[in-house]
Amino acid sequence: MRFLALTLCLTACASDIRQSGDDDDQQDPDEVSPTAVYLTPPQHLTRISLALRGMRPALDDLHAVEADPAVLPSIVDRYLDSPAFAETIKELHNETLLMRIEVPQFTYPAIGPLAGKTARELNTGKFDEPLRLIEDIVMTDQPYTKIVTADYTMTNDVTAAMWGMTHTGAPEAWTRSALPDARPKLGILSSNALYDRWRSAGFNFNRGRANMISRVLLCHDYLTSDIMVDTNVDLADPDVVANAVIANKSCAGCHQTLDPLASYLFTYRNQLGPVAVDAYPVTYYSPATANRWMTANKRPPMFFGVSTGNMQGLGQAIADDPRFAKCAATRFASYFTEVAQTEVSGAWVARLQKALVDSNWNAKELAKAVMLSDEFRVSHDTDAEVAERTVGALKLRPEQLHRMIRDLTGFNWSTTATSNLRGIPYGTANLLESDFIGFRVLAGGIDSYFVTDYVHTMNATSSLVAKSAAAAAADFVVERDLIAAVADRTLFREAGVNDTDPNLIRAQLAYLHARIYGELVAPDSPEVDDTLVLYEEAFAASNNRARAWKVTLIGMLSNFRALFY
Amino acid sequence: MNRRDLFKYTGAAAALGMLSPARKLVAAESTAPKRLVMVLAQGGWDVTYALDPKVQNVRCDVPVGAIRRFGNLDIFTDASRPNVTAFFTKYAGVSAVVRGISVSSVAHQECLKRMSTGTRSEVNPDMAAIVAHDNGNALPLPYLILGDTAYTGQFAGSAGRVGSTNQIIALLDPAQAYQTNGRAPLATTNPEDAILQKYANATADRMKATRGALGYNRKRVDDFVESIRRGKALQGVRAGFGARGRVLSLTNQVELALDALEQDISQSVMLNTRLGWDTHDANTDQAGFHETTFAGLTLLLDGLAARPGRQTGTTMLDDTIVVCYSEFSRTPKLNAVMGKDHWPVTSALVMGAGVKGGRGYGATNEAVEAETVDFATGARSATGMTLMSNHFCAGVLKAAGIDPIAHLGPTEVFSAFVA
Repeated sequence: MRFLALTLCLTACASDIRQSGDDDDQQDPDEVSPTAVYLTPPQHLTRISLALRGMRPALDDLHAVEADPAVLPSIVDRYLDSPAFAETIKELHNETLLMRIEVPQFTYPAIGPLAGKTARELNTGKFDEPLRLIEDIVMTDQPYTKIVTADYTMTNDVTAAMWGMTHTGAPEAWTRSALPDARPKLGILSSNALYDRWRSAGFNFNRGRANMISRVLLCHDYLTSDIMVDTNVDLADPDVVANAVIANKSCAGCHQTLDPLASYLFTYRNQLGPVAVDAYPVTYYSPATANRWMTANKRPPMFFGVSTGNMQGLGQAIADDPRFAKCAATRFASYFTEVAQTEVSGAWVARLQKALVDSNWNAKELAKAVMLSDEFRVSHDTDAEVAERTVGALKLRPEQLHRMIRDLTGFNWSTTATSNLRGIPYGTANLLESDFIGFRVLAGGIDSYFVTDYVHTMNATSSLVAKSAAAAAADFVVERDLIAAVADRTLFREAGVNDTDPNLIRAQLAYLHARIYGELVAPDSPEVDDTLVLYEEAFAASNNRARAWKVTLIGMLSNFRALFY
Repeated sequence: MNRRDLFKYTGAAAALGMLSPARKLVAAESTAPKRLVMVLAQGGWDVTYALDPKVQNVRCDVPVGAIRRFGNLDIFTDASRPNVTAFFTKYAGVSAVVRGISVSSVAHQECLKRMSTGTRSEVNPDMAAIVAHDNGNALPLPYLILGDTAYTGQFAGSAGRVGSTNQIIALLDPAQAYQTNGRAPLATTNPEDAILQKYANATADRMKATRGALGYNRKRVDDFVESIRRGKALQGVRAGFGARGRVLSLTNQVELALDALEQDISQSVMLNTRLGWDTHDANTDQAGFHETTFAGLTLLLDGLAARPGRQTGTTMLDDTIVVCYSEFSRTPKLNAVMGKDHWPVTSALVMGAGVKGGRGYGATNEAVEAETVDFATGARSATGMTLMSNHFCAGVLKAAGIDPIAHLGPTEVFSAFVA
């Protein structure tokens, strides 16, 4: 497919589009069921820790919550200030912006100031920019509305060289930078990368981009509308189409709001593929074509019927739209609970929306409100019918699995590839965060291009990925702890790898249950009994203590209790 | 489990009741279980290049060539597109062309959903996922996704992808696994795998006694256990997956698909032509894309016809349905840059088992606009109905031996092409 533009061109729609900010006609999913069973405080902490950080809680926190559940909010606050939450914020927003792609036709050349850069570095430097801006806004407690009004962006050395911006700090560090020119200051909507990811097919007059903005920021997706296309309209003739989207009632229903939104975007060029890049810097900003709407779709720029003067007013108009807050609340709730956006409780979303707005648009407060909600801490439901739609087992996304394993074992499952992506050496990547060489999609993740929805259950390939990652991590940590001083050991805190004392082995297994499963169980508990059988049978099979611990850790790290929360 | 899923399980019976008595027979009429291979021409093909032949007229620009009949099947061909001609010369008898399928949109992603799943939601499974689940869920990887786009829905546990550079083999074959930190990957032995399976099962039993007793949670636990079995089974047939780094052209995908089907690794396979069908300019590129695609289809059907089927004396072509489709078609008229834009009426090619081949079904007029058709015969009919993507998908499911109503709800079934 040439551009994969979300070509909305020429679609018509009925007038029954659900406006995300309008609750009147929206069927409200049920509130929490009266037969719901909630997680215990340690289980709740574990779910919070994995949702916000992709990491298991520290033992001290588990014990603290077990002793006094009232400490939970303070732990959440600490998590929200952690670097791991910054990673989660980027992943949460990538799920909708779909920026993290590894596709040849989007991979710019390693030339000029970017000579010697790997494909991985080029694509990360290009496509992470809007995600890094959102991260910066959220992590520095700026109002979330700034994602569409900020007057700066974020760069590393690749971003700056590619688009012609000044970068300060270490080459690979992401730091704040001024926008490169006089473009409107609209946060992520000022990003070259956003318009490169969402290229326009020219004759579509930015309608695909406009729908992307509406979908991502307002949860209003024109494409989901039930439409009847009038085939009597010659879709190959731009003039006929331009008239039809105004005069033909089957077209105008959507296009009367979509096309004016698209008209803002003539300020950016349609596309700039890698074959057109023979030197850096390049840019998508194109002020000379800002008024092209006059001859293209003939609709002046407007935001759902409201004139904003120029593109500079677009960001504030989006931020002022009630759908913006509701959409953010819906996305956070959906992402953290693995419940489809359309299935998230409307009443809950309303509460979350209020929490966001009342906190001066602090996205951390929104995340905190999600974490402490009853809707989030549901374990299961005793009513069989309700249980069918009760998501009480959340599966780790590949990125979370990466962070969990790294945090538990110190192991980073990465490799350096010798293969090329569009003729450029691919470079080094974590195998759970790469599509070109790694297993992100095979583990149930998204490649943000062809695969855009996470798989929240296990299948053959995600099982193989989990086991392979567990095996590599187990091998690493056992070998490391085998020779490390006691104080420096990562996982073997209660027993050494070669210890034979049954009591020490049980104590070590209980420790692993706490770290890997978040289970605070006694060394003589039935849970540890199960794992002891695993260890003993593994030892019997190899007569090697280190091997037995490796197999035990494979079993635990790839266990249901590790992969789901 | 969401509301759509709930409908599937609780609403299907009610949906049956909403249909006329004649249509209630659909479930009972479903044919023997089949394999399914889907070949997706993603981006939007121009049906006037082969499947829906037209004569040049003021409302439709057609490529170089002429209409040629292969038995009762009319196809647009030209000497410059020999692979198209060769395919129909050889396989017209087992090929049904379904024309005039309306998708009611001209947006790629929307139409992909509609043509693949017969629904308007990406959380619903596509035809191949349904066939895999219903007809072959005991296989190691019931739904093998070799292409890019696929919808697995609630049957995600039965599906698996190979990766853009066939990196699945790195998980199956220790010799092709990645080295990390300079160490060869740790491979477990069969006895150790048995120990690990036992431990996983013990956990599953504990979960089923508590949080995983019912509903959504129960399904996740079941998928977890089953995924381990499937992963192990896949390792046993790793030879069929080739080498890491292999670029999955259509030809390579066909080879992998044939092996996976023959070895009973998979019940369904999704292939992707990986061609730039979205010809907003230079629509003549469609000629080459058709050539590549029909060469691949010939290779696929040759392979199916050459390999043994499940019954003595049959071939895999007797067990397998092949569907080649695109999310939509292209405008009848060329645009200002000699391209064609998106068009909401398309055609599909259905081949192989359970298909009444050798003719076309459905109809369009001289401007590739859908005409109403008699769903029983597939012939143009003023009193018939417009053929929609959901009707088409329901027909394919029926041909595969699956009750389409159970999956798609109260949908009319276009079964004229079903043997």
